[in-house]
Amino acid sequence: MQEQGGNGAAHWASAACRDFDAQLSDYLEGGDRPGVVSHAAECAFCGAVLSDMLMVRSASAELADDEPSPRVWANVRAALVAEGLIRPPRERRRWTEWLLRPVPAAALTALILLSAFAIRPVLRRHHRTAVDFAELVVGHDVIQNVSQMETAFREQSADLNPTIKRAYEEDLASLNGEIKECNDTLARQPDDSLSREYLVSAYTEKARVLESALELGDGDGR
Amino acid sequence: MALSQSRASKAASDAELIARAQRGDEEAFAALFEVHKRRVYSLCLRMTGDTAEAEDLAQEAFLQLFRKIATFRGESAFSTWLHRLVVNVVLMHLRKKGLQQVSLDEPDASQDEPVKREYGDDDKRLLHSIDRITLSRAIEGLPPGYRAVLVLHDVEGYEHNEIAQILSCSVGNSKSQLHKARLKLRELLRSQRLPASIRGT
Ligand SMILES: [Zn+2]
Repeated sequence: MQEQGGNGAAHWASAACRDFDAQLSDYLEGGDRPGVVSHAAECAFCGAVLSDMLMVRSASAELADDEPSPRVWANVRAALVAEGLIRPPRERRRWTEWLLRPVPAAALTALILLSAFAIRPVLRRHHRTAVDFAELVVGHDVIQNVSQMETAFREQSADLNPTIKRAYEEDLASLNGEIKECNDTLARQPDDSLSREYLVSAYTEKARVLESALELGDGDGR
Repeated sequence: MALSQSRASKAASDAELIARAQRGDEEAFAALFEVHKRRVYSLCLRMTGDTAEAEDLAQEAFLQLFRKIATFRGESAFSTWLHRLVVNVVLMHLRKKGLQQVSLDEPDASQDEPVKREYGDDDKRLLHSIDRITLSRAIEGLPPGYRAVLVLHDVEGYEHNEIAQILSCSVGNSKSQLHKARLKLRELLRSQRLPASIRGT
């Protein structure tokens, strides 16, 4: 049995080689094991083991990432749409953009007729204030619920990630602005049927935003 | 939309994208996918060694992520959360396939081999530059448990305490399995080394 490999063709592990084996893992983990380096310098076989291990480690760290095929996103997107997690852009469009959208003449006529026969008498009879327009159009319960959600959000929002919190607050500020604009328009022009639609849309979106924010607040923190 | 198109395209931070995705914004979902797809897919690929399987798993991981995104509060790094989820998806898949050795606390005794010191001049030669295809193929050739710990530590850069959590094993076990995995990888590389990927000393 040959004790030390050196330059010979054959090699059997010596006691020093076995020590090297025992300490190699700790050395590679950053431990202070001077015996590993000194033995690697004098034993060709263990020297090759150490060099190879260092190379395997560094080559693995440099392994570049691969690109998945486009079908992965296509499938993910299709599932998100099917599950309603991606919402159609139309639902999220600002009502001012919506206003500029071409409205089919027949639909517009129907809305005007509706407001002329149904809404105007009600509005005139009660001399509604701005807040009351919202109640009349959206419904008392909806306004009450959205208001409660907003209060709950303000109470919980301190716990949210500041960036996420800011994004929600910006969205809410924008939606509250839309709601105010609708109410102002209705106060001047109680017959404005499109403003009614936008008001409903703004409240719906606000409820969604608040729902999402509150779910976040109730989450497990991950 | 409160967050304008121009801001959307510049939104580098995950937090903003997450907040927008939570409100159903397709562009935010697409951007989150774009930012993380390569790392997620590569992790799946390295852990399974199969492109079709890796794509299915990446798809599954992103879907699970996007379904859970409403519960993400930003207390831990988003990428850490995502990667833990990916690893769980892959491990679940491997366990379903009935592959052994995924759990590191039940190592295969046959894997506990000493470092080989064989006969012949070739055997003490160093491995030199390893090309990525050779290395990827060798990693794919590792038993799943070794592959998991080596991919997580040496390729993805996880710490042993994180790996211990992900794989439900002890830190010591993660360390010892990593060492064995590297030795096994070295053995695979030396047995399949090609003229282009190795030079003699
Ligand atoms: Zn030695």
